[in-house]
Amino acid sequence: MPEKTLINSHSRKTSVFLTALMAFLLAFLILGGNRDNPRMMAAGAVYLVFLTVITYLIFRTGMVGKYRSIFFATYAVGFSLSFIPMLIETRGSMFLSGEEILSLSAPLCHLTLPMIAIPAVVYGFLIFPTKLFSEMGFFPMLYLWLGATLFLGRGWCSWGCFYGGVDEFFSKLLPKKIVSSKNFNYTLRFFPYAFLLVIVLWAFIALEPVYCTWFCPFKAITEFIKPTNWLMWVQTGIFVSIFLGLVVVLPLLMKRRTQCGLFCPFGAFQAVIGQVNPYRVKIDGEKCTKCNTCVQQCPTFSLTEEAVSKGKSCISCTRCGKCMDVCPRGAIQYSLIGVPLRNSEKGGGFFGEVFRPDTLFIFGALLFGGVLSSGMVSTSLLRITNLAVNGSFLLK
Amino acid sequence: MADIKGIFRRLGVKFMYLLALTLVFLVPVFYMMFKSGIIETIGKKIPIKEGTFVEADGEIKIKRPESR
Ligand code: SF4
Ligand code: SF4
Repeated sequence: MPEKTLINSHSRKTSVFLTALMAFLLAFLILGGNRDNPRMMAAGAVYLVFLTVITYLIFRTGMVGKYRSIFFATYAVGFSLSFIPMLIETRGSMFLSGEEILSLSAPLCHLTLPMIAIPAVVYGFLIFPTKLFSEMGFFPMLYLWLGATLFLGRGWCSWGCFYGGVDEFFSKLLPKKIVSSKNFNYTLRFFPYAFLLVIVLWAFIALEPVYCTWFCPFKAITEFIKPTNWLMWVQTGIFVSIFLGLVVVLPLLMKRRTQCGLFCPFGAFQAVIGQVNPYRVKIDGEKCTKCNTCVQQCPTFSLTEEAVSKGKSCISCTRCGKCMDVCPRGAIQYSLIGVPLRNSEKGGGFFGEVFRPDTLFIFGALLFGGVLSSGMVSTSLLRITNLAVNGSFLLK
Repeated sequence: MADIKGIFRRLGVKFMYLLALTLVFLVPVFYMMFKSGIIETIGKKIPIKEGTFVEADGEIKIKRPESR
């Protein structure tokens, strides 16, 4: 086998420069926002150090998939450790009660956006019980989504989504696959698109956020309505089963992100709308030997033999970088639409490295994800410290 | 002809790099604007209202448009 070329690696000088710039911007955005809260500032500083180390490792080694994954899983764990105790502090439990719904206090997440869009346009109101401008309300989430789409496209699902890191976390726990995906039926990756269509139409007809009511597996780590009748017990059974099956067990056994690759309708939505983002993942046909290592390893089933022969990943690609880590020929790279693929044998010097498509994408994506995750991870750090000192996750 | 195509291709490549660079610069701007109140300013101009929910038979339902 030829020696592996790490296509995304940078010289030490460029890596130090990019890391210093990232640390400066993150410090400005993360610490600057917490000036009046010294405890959050201290926790933010710890997270800043973590992000700085991750930045250096990504740029220097070129192992984007590996080190991004550490960041992304940390983000998801931080989200869970901060969100559930926050609910317990504010309402006493994870349950979403009628009171919260009537007072529009349910936090909205991006997964609801495709469902609530058509009723909002047609009838002019939200079918989800949230406020328009509260911290986790409709307009802040819409703004966040617009930014994510512009900056990351479907890269949102590997650099920004606070749920995506959960199945990524479980997919990393075991050292080896237990279930091989050699005979995997790749037609299954079209399911999220069909599912998206169904829930958008169903939500419009029923005027109800049906994905949240029936399917969302992440209710298991956020909030859900306490079941009081048989129908609610069925709904609870469904989302808990999807969580256990697609977010925990299958990622563990297959080492793939089965929820994100084969189920999430928002992922499908983002794959289509995210085409406005100018980055793509392309395969250099001259270098590729069709060994299909990347096909076997892509966490979201976004590479097929057909896609490899066409020289590009499928639209579901989350720009995670894993295929680039594992390609023994360095044939896969981040590219910009209309820009010829880069010849990795050429060094390019300092400016050549800084202005590479992979550098620009990774820098923007990590900056976006780093700031977005900072509040949740910092709060979870405070909670862990509180647990160690006072024996409780709760801060109030 | 080939020359003109070449010029356009090179211009296209330059434009894409400029776009990519702009996107990177926009990330911090995006977060700074988040806290600046721009969301409320623009959001208030968009004709969307919060939903009204009712408790019917113990279940919480949106008040449908025809019953408004
Ligand atoms: S596929 Fe869904 S859950 Fe997974 S990262 Fe994307 S939006 Fe999040
Ligand atoms: S094609 Fe490559 S970058 Fe895209 S999701 Fe798969 S492994 Fe990640």
